[in-house]
Amino acid sequence: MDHRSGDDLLERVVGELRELPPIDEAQITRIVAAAQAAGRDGDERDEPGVLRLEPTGRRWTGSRGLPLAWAAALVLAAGVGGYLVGDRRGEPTVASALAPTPPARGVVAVAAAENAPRLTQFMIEAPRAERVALVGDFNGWDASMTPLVRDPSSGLWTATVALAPGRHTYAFMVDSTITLDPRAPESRDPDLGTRSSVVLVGGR
Amino acid sequence: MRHLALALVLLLPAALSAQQLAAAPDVARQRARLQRELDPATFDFVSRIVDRTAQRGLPIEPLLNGAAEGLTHRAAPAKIRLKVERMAQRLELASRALVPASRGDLEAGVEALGAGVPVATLTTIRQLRPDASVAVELGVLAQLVRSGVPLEKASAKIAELMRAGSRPAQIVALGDSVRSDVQRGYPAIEVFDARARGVLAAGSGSGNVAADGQNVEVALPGFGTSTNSPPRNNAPTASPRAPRRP
Repeated sequence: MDHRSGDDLLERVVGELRELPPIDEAQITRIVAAAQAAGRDGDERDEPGVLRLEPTGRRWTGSRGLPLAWAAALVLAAGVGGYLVGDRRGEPTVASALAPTPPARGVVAVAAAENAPRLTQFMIEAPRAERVALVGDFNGWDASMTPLVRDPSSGLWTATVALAPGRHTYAFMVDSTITLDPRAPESRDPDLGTRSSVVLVGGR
Repeated sequence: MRHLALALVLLLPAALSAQQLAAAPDVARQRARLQRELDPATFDFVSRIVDRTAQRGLPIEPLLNGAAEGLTHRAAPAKIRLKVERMAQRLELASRALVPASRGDLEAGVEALGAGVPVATLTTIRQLRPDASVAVELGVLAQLVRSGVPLEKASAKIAELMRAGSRPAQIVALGDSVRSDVQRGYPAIEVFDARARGVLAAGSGSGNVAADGQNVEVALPGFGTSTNSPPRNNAPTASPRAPRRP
């Protein structure tokens, strides 16, 4: 995603924030009442205000309605911030990693700090290349997503992206030719029969 | 209290809207690329598998990524179909073995299964860390196996490290060290044993492996990842392999 489309998305978000519907006092009353009722019905053994995730990952529950509502609001607000920061930087991997996507079946959210993306620098020497891009499982193998920047004096091309902890496969597109990282281990995909470079990104 | 509720009502629609905006472009863009670059039969095949996976509540991004990887590598359509089909099967297996699982866990599980790691090993690793992501452990295990370390030995040692309280950063450093040693010509099995003993001796502290003391760090593939420390022996100038000049 380039910066221009990032700006477009930002404007859409800002536009939607501006176009929020008028406040419905009755609706607010109903929501607060429902939240309080949920709190009364909750398991009293739970710690007050603790946000819990059910084992199936299908819904969020809490022992107190209102603190839960606030926790949810804060989490969602953090999601907005993460999205904006990631998108403004032109790094969709940051956005997707920071934004808490609703869990699907059997999928849970993990602690943000533990799964926080790590900045990872990629570099290749290609002094005669006119255009170099990074492609990998973190950017959909899309050569338009992560262009590398050339240092004219050294001929080195570099890019720094935020990656989630774990194993990632990638390659460089050097003037439309796929090129492996000469300094990284290679991995052969048993299904495609192709080779990629591998980077291991650490957690905390 | 009224202010709190008001804030919730104001934040909720905006946040939901932003979530959709953040997630949608990637999937839509990838689907559009697949439709544009795949032949119609392969695109239909991939779409059916992706839709079926979505209906099961599993993440579809790994499948779209797999197809896109095939396109970028200019793989034959038959291989792209095979890749997506097998990934969907592995995704289903990983979702059963890794409960609960984050999307990162599932993707790592798919990779590990693809490297030949059995489903039972995924379950064991999940049980050893039931409340945290195991993407790093599974990723390192997959990489070790692909590097030539025997599956049973790699699985047993990763489990031993997890039981000993080794941090994910230490396990990544182990994988990196083994990779670096193998590149220098040492046999994978021997260096793996030696490096794993080093991590165990270091315990869960910083020890002699990477200590990530900061929230954000810079990792340089090929030069030793996930460290803030000075370059090690495999720094660019000392690298035994000269960089390629494409």
